[in-house]
Amino acid sequence: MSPARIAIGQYVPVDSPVHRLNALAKMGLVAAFTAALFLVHGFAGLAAAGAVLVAAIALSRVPAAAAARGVSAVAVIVAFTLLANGLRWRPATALVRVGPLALDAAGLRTGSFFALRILLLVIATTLLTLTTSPVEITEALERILRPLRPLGVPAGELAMTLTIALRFVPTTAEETERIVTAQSMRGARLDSGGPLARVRAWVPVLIAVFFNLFRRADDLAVAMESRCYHGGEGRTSMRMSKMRSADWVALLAGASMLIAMGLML
Amino acid sequence: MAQGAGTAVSGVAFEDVSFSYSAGGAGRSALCDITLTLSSGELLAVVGANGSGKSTLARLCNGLLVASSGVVRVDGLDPADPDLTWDVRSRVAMVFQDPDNQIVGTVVEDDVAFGPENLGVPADEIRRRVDAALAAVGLAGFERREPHLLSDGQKQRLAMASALAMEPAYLVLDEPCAMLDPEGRADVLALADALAHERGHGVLLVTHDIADVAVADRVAVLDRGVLSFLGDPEDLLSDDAALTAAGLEMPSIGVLAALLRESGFDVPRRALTPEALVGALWH
Ligand SMILES: Nc1ncnc2c1ncn2[C@@H]1O[C@H](COP(=O)(O)OP(=O)(O)O)[C@@H](O)[C@H]1O
Ligand SMILES: [Mg+2]
Repeated sequence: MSPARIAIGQYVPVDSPVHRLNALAKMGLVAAFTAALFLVHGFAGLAAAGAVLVAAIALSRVPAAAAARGVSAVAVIVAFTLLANGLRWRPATALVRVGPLALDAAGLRTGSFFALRILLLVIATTLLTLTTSPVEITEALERILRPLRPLGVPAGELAMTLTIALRFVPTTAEETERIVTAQSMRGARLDSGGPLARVRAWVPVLIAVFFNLFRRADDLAVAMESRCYHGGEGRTSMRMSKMRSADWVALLAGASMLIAMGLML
Repeated sequence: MAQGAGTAVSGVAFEDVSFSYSAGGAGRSALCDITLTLSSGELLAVVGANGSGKSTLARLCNGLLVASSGVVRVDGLDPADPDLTWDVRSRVAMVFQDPDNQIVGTVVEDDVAFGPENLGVPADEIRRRVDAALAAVGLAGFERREPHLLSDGQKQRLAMASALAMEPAYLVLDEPCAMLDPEGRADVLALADALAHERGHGVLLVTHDIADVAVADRVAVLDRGVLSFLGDPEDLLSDDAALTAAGLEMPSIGVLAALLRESGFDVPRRALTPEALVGALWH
């Protein structure tokens, strides 16, 4: 795996109104969209929600295929939802019968309603990660958790931990690959043999990776202290991740429209 | 702390500093009775064999370690004073050996912003510092790049930008070139040179490379925790025994220069690269 191919999340860095929208506003809109999906009581509602989503994808200028990628991850759940609702045991009327089992039209309707709801939800959250960098998501999470600070939730520290984890994913992946290559050259067989042999071959690799991670953590802690890191207290942030008035307008208008749509359709 | 307290002498000053990793001073000291001062506008090279105490010396400069005896002062401030920790660390910025283990940000500009953010600098001032620091190290235009996509040399320059963003008076570079290829090494060295001699920072450069010693204003040699030489690089470069003790090896260009000197050519001892040697012979 070359470093360039290691993508954290699935962020597609192009410029679009959706990308420029503050992460907090986007998360709020996804939440409102989710609420609308659970409020709608018919296919008309789902169709409207789908139209909103298609418009958002077009506006975001990310490839539609990328937006649909998340769907494969939930294919099993979608299929299960369809079948769980559509299959009946010896029903009076049926579309298709296989022995005592049969597909029932009304059941299928309910099933596809639920399945569509899941699909729309997954595509909407995928669109969020496609148009929002992990850093922005981390920052938005910090903003959301900040009010909980008096209750002892270390919002800044959590966000910092997440940021560092994101920062070291590619580094650790590169390092793992280096160690795998080194082990393979010494005759370790990591990709052949039975499962037990493979697990055994991976053990030294994992030990080396963990050992290096702890060493890294030590070094990094010293480097961070040298750069005056002392927790979230008194820290400022360079990024203007403030909600601009345009973000507020988009969030409030979008959310109320979505909720209204959910209530009416 | 009667000694040196409150005196606003500038520089990073060591006075009779000893340090031992084992508590109570039992066991061998990592550093023994070190007295030296790093001044603004000066490039001070620190050389010595592995385990001679170079990193220990570096970490005493910003209070990561606290002297077992003797005093360290940064512009008159005591790094061991908990109230002054962040003040001292914003004056003395550190760059370490491993480029990967000191980058915190997921993109270049976030990493440079990390120090000033910790210091509570307002957002637009951080932006200004980040742009200035990236320009100073030649990484302008890399703001949104992910650090793991940089070369090791670029990563070290990023680490230097991140140090500069705290607007320190002094920079302590602990073997910043050790893991770099020759090109990255030359870039980092040229940068250290410029930071000291053009921008007026006091730069302490821990190094293994004799070429780095040649551009330094002064050089300190550590031998098993003892300061065995402190002075003009030329004097060190002309003393084979001292060089060997310092764990340094004269490169073949230096040997050639010595032969030329013996035959009556006027070649300075600092001419340790082919370019410098050719330049010296040309004049
Ligand atoms: N964290 C530590 N704990 C105990 N001893 C240490 C530690 N770090 C370094 N030392 C010891 O202190 C001495 C000086 O180390 P160091 O300053 O790292 O040398 P250098 O950087 O010149 O290689 C060495 O003998 C080393 O083994
Ligand atoms: Mg060292």
